[in-house]
Amino acid sequence: MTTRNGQIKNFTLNSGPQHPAAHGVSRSVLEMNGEVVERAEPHIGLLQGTEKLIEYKTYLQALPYSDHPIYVSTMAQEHAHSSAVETLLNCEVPLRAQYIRVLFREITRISNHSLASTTHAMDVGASTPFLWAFEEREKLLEFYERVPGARMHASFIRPGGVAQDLPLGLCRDISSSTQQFASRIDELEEMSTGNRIWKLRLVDIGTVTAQQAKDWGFSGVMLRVKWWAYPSQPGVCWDSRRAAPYDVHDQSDPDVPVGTRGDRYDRYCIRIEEMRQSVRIIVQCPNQMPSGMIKADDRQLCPPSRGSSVYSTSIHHFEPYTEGFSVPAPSTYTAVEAPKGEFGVFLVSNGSNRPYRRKIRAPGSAHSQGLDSMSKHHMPADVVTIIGTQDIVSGEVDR
Amino acid sequence: MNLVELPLQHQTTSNSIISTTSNYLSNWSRISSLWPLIYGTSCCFIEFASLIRSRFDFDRYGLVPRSSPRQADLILTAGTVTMKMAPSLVRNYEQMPEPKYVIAMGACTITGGMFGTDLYSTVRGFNKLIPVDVYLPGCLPKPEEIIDAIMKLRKKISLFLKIKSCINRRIDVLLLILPSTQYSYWKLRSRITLSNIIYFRDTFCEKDFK
Repeated sequence: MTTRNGQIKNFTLNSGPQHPAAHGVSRSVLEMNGEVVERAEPHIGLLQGTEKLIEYKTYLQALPYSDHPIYVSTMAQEHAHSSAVETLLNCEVPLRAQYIRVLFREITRISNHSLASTTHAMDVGASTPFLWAFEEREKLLEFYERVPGARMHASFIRPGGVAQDLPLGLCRDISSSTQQFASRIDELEEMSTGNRIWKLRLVDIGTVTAQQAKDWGFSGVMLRVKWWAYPSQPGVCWDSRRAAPYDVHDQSDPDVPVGTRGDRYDRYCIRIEEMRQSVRIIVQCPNQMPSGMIKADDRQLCPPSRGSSVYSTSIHHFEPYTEGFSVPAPSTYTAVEAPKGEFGVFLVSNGSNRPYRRKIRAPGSAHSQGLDSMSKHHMPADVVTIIGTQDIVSGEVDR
Repeated sequence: MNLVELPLQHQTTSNSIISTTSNYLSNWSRISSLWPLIYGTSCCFIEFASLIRSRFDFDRYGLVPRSSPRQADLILTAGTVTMKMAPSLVRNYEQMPEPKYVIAMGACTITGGMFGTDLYSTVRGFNKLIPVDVYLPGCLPKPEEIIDAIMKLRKKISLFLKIKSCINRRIDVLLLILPSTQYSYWKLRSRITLSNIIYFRDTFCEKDFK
């Protein structure tokens, strides 16, 4: 507290953009009364502006730009972008492509949760889960690399289907990897879930009521928790995969974990449980996957594959890359259940080959608004961990 | 290359003496303990994090990530820098004490990358803000590539001449390494003879750098 002419003011502390736990660049200005945070104000705008940039690119060129805002769960954003374009084009995606998309989205979900919950654990102070989970994540990134060729920014899920078919042996490797993955999740849980210190740091901190969560626009894990004062009211069970099923999610039927208390401990438990559910889906997917085409048949939309005779004899394979394809006029909002929450793309087209406006509804930007209400009357160390539990990545806040 | 070697043929002797020059000694100590600042704005930071962890452990090269710029001597600029973030980055760089090194990691930091063409807010390349030692292209550069960049930086540092050439040859630093404490000081003195001192001076010619 500072005094000036007998007036007591709160002490303002800058939790600056360069911070080991800042999850990218996120700056928070904390007003503190002693050790207790009275107000936490996130300052954003420190990262690139992707939305404006996309207006200068064609739809296919815009696809890698959807990877970069949320850089830990890249295929989910590609899926949203591709679904939006397909909705406008009224294009049918082949069944095999839908299964491949679901498979890789669930791999993305595990990859994201293993990063999110263990960096959160590192912020709290436990550095071992981070080491273990990143090894698991490396195995999943190997699968990423085998299919589209890049470890993180895959550009794999494209409008019309997916870019390439799965290589031989991939499904076998994925199933052998998932067999041991459940025991890895058990090891992570053993380290933290019953741990007294972990519970002390996480229980009843950063609580959010169900009504507050709906008002602030939380989604995903943040929404599926509830406040302890109303034990009869469960957390809001909102999962875009159930509410508006897309692709083949209605056939795989995941259980949706819902919390009971609304605090950080609940969110951590929900993430662990979601990882288990994703493993379940990953096990089912290769068995149910039919053979067939992986791209829609439309030559305007999807260029022919490199090995085909069509490729060498026609000139059409230049057009999707240079000029792009035109998308009819109205607009659409498509949302997917990204690991961080509901990731939506509001795509406005004016009939040309470039989007007129592509608004990204990123889950983290809604969650970061709740930082102030969640961190009131907590310690500054808790502010850092609240940012972690909200699973914010600064790229999605700034887009 | 910078050579500070143990005398191989006399490994059984209890007293080992290494002869080197102060230049090589200081360069060796710098390259073997480059401590990077945990700085990351964007996607490259996740690859930097993969580098810290189990599979591509960079602790074995002597890199211990530090949170504070006051304790760091390497900044691996991971991620796009915008005009709003630029003053913060420069301040971080200025807070690092000398000697300090910069690896520009990823396409965004070298030229602006995929955000360099039409974007209103990106700084097109870090070298507009801070001096860069090694440029590492890629979007994203894989962790193995980052290790390669660190190796190149180590090569660059080992070429650094603090004291210029003619004097460098004549200044020798004798390092006395005592592996056990059971020998008393006087016994040690009696065992230092000319035959025990191995000269590596001939191998430290500058033409070996090429």
